[in-house]
Amino acid sequence: MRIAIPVWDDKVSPVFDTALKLLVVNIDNNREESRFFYPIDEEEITQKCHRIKKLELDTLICGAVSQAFLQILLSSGLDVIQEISGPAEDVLKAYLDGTIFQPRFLMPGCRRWKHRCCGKGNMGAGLRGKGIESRH
Amino acid sequence: MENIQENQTRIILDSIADGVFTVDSDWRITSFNRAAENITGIGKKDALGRHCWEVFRASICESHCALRHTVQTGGPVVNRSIFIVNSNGDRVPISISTALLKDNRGKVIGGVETFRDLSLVEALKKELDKSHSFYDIISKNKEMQRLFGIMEQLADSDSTVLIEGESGTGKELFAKAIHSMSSRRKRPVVTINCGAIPDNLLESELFGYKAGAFTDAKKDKAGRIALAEGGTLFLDEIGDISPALQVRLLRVIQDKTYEPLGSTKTEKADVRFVAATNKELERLVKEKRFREDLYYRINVVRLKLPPLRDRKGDIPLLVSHFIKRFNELKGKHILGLKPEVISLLMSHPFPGNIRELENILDYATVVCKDEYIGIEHLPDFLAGTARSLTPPVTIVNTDIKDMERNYIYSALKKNSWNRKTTANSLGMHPTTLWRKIKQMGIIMPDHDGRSKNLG
Repeated sequence: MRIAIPVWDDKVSPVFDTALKLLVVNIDNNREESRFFYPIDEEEITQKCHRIKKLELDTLICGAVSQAFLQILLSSGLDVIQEISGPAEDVLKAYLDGTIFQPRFLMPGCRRWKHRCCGKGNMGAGLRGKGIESRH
Repeated sequence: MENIQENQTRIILDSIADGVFTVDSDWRITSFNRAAENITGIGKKDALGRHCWEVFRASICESHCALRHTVQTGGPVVNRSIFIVNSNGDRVPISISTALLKDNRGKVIGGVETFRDLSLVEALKKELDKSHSFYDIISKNKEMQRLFGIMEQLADSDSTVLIEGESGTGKELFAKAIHSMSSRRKRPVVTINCGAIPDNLLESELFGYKAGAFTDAKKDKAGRIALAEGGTLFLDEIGDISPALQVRLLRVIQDKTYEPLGSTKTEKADVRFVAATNKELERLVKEKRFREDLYYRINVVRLKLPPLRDRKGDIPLLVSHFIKRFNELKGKHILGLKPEVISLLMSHPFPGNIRELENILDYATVVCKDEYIGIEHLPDFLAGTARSLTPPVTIVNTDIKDMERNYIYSALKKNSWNRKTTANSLGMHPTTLWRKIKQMGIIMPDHDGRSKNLG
């Protein structure tokens, strides 16, 4: 499976609408297989989404994202875990360990109900079977 | 003494309408006033001590941070327009100003940022320009999400689009959103309602005319096609045009050329066509009232907008959106709907679709002087229906969550507590419904097949 995290100075980008770069990680059996960076510097969210679609992602982990952008992302069939903050490497590790929904990774003011995994219903390899679903 | 001063500063900051926050040298928030809480939707308690970009979530945080610029150069930033994403996921337009924060000895200890909510200005601008974008379409409905996917693909294409849907489903909004997403967005989008203009006039409106083309044609007049040059021409109610005009329209869509009335010179049309109709064009084709070749020419990409009665799950979202908009436009402070109004709206068939809901709330926000809209604030035709309905049960609050809970509860009851049928009727996956039932503490009755009490 393939996941992506928008990054800025080694951190998760605070606003996905204006994020410029994605860290794309290929995962097999809950372990990182390979990674690469992918620019997403398009201004228009539709063009950004068009570009993201080409990556055939399963899951996107991001910071704040506008409802309009979220709508269009979900329509392209990927799962979105939003309002996540912190160092990108720590977030990635927590995702693989199935412990991403810890207060230290949640943006301030974030209500836990918002941390549903939207889209295809695929929680991602790292979250499956780790009791995450029951917390949302 | 210091405490008194601090307290006074806090009171002053909390009493102003602009958002204000300060950061220390590590970009962590050290103060956050009440207006900042309101505009961002994030409480002071949650904000203090956090990095400013996690709280402020502005379009410029990543690449053009104004506060960083001020701290690095010492120069202030004044009234710069940007947007933030608030805790609800809304894009809020704001203007910001920044300055250095210094201690008593003049040493820089951080920065201060003030920001003003420009939502009202933007709303008024939108009302005046009638300019709409993808951000104005509100829905969590599955079918609508499928349409968003198609629209996203349309961004890179120049294909002709046909939008079908009942009156009030938002065809024009979609047409404008398609334009705003396309590479033509910096050029004009011109609308013409083919059903509202008599045929002869429609021809001259569309194609324009030359002086002397007919009596009173004293000087040249550009048609809508020419006005939309480089942009998009939205042909509303295309099913209403006459067979003669259909031929002329076919040519311009097909060959991208046309002649203004009275002209012998052929003009080129660099225009993207988006057509809309509330009629079934396919049936009109069968009845020979609409040309088959024109139908196929405009039906390159077809978007069929669902009526509001098929996406009732969106009503709470739309209500919240319209109340916010009318509050801004009318200077009101309405917080929501009373429980009986929610039930009434959920059971109303909405033959006029979203426009009808908008008009109902427009009326209600004028009449309502309270915090919550009640039955007495609704137009007569709805208030009459309400009197014949029994009062709803189990609702205590009126926020969106409660509206959703009540809606799901009613749908379950209507479908004899069958979760699969209910999920289908609500347009959501059975697993999603199951999760919502659990989250919202809805208690399933004993005669449900699974006989489970949840909550």
